[in-house]
Amino acid sequence: MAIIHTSEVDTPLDFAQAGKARSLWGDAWVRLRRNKLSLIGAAILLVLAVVAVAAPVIAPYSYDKTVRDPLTKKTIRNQFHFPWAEHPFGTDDQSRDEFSRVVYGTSISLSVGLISQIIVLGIGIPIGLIAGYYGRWVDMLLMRITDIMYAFPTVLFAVVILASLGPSLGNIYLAIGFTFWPPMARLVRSQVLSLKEKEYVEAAQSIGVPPWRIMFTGILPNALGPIIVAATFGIPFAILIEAFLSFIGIGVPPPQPSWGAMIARGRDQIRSEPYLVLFPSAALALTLFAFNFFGDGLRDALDPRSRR
Amino acid sequence: MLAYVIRRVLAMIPSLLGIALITFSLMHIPKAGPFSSEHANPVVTARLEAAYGLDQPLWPAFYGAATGIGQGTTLVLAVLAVVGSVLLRRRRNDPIQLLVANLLITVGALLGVIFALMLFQGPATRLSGSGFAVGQFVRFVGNILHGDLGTSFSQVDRSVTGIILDSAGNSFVLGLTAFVVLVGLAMPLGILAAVRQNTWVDYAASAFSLIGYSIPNFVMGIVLILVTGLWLRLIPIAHWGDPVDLILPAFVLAIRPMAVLTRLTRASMLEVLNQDYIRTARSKGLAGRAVLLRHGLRNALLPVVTVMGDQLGDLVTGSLVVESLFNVPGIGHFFVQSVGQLDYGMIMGTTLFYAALVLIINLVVDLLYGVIDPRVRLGAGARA
Repeated sequence: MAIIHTSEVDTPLDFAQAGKARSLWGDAWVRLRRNKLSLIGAAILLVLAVVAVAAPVIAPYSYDKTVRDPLTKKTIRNQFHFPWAEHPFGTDDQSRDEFSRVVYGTSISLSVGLISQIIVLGIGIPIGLIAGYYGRWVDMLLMRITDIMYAFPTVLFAVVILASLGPSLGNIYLAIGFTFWPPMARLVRSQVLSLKEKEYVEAAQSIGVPPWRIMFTGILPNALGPIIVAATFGIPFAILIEAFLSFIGIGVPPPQPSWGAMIARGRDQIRSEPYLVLFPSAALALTLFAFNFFGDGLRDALDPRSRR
Repeated sequence: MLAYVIRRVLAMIPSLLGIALITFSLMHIPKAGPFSSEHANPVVTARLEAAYGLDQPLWPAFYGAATGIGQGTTLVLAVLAVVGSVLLRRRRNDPIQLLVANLLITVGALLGVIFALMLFQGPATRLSGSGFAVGQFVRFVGNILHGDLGTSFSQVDRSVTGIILDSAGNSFVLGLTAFVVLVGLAMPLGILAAVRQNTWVDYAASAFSLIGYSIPNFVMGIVLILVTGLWLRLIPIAHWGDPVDLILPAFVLAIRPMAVLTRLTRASMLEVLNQDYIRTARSKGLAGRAVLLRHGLRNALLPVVTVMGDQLGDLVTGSLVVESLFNVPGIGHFFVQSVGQLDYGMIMGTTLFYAALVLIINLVVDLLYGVIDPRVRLGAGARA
């Protein structure tokens, strides 16, 4: 802990900007900007976010409506169109435009990633803060509960929750959020344990600052780096789990276009129409790539010591 | 060492109890049971449920006249356990008392949860008269102690234990092959990437681990089936029984852990190779291979082994989708099937089995850590 290997990190920059005060976040931003891969990841994420928000504008068709054949005005013969100008990704077994479904699928995947991570943070941060700060029996009780949840094989817990509550988008948020908070709580607690021994916390305690203010304005901001990194890696993992759950049929229910469910459907026609699997798979892989690229850069930027 | 193992095994009990409790209560939230359907005759459904013991109350309950007494007793016991634990913890220098205190507070917490459930779910029993019923949960846990994980509701006359025993062999063979692939490919690749840092080998290894980490295994599986099975016709698909059938599922199962392991081996190796003792070993004229393997690898293995538990856990949960995808008649395959059929007996039993498996794997990995690193002493007081 005592010796930080700064030699390889940013010597040229330190000389260039010597004398100029830089904040932790400014510093991180400079490091992040120098990482090309993570910038590519961020750019892809930006595009994906726009696609997700503007899905109704971008998608030429609805995600659950049968597309009529432009010539005959019939729906029945319009299934399994090979990708062509009007349907760039083809049409599926129910004559729906695959491109529109992939576009709408973006917003489902991203919303699962974001909302489930908000739940993870919402549960993990308070539990970690309280357990770490108060210690003693509070810590013991909370960590016992966390340990029990931690022992639950991750994907299985989500499966059990969904099998119980039934498949729906809202339940997916809950299932994934409730599955992944224990590692977050542990992370926050470990950060708090080292931070609460610092002099500034002792100083705050001695002048009678209430514990919740010390926790949220004194300790939490200083523990934010690792928390942000963990949440950034949590998003692609949540998206992956959602795709998996939808793939085995207990995730997002049918009319909604989840990539995982689309891959599962396309699997039945993989011999004749492989594109029905390939397009949603590519979208899923691209999203995960982007998040992992970006997360890598973010980790190096926010916590240069934990370079892997 | 032995004391450490015993302590760890004892610590598994509350974890497994907690998992059993969570799974059990989750499985009994839905109104629709495995036997209910729109067309079902309610009398038949009731008889079926009675045959499987589903008409019993969920939690230990005094029913009829004595309902309040049961709830009261649970609350009192919960409070007693917590108070006892707090009192015992005052004398924290005694490890045995500490252990008992830890167990007590867990029991207290569990009882508290049961009390809350009793209040909200009520003794929804169809038993007449008044008396005491052990309840489905206690019976479930009691049966597990006898090695009986429950009954499957969808496969007639089959116990969960039977299904698991019948399919465990297939899962084990698949998992073991995947593990061999995992260690056999990821470690050498990671070492090579570290030794040849910033060459094409290194970049190829990074690209491989990035792809392996970002492409979901079911997508990878489907694409591999498409290419090797349908287009090139190299491998028979959806077939199980010959050694050839293992190749694809084992590879797909191993791919994600492999990505993590390659990266970690590379990073860990790089760090070790920059240490002074490696330079010393080189300067005293040791052969490159001896330096690399005896001085480098052994030290680089430590951080690798710490994440090994997670990777092996990944193999276990990954088998769910891989077995369904490749039609391997293993535990994961039947588990996914039972989820689709709302077969609660099977879901609960298998979940608990998996949880125990993952806990045991983690224990073994921790023990292994002590073998590789002599500095780690797993004796008394080493880890509180």
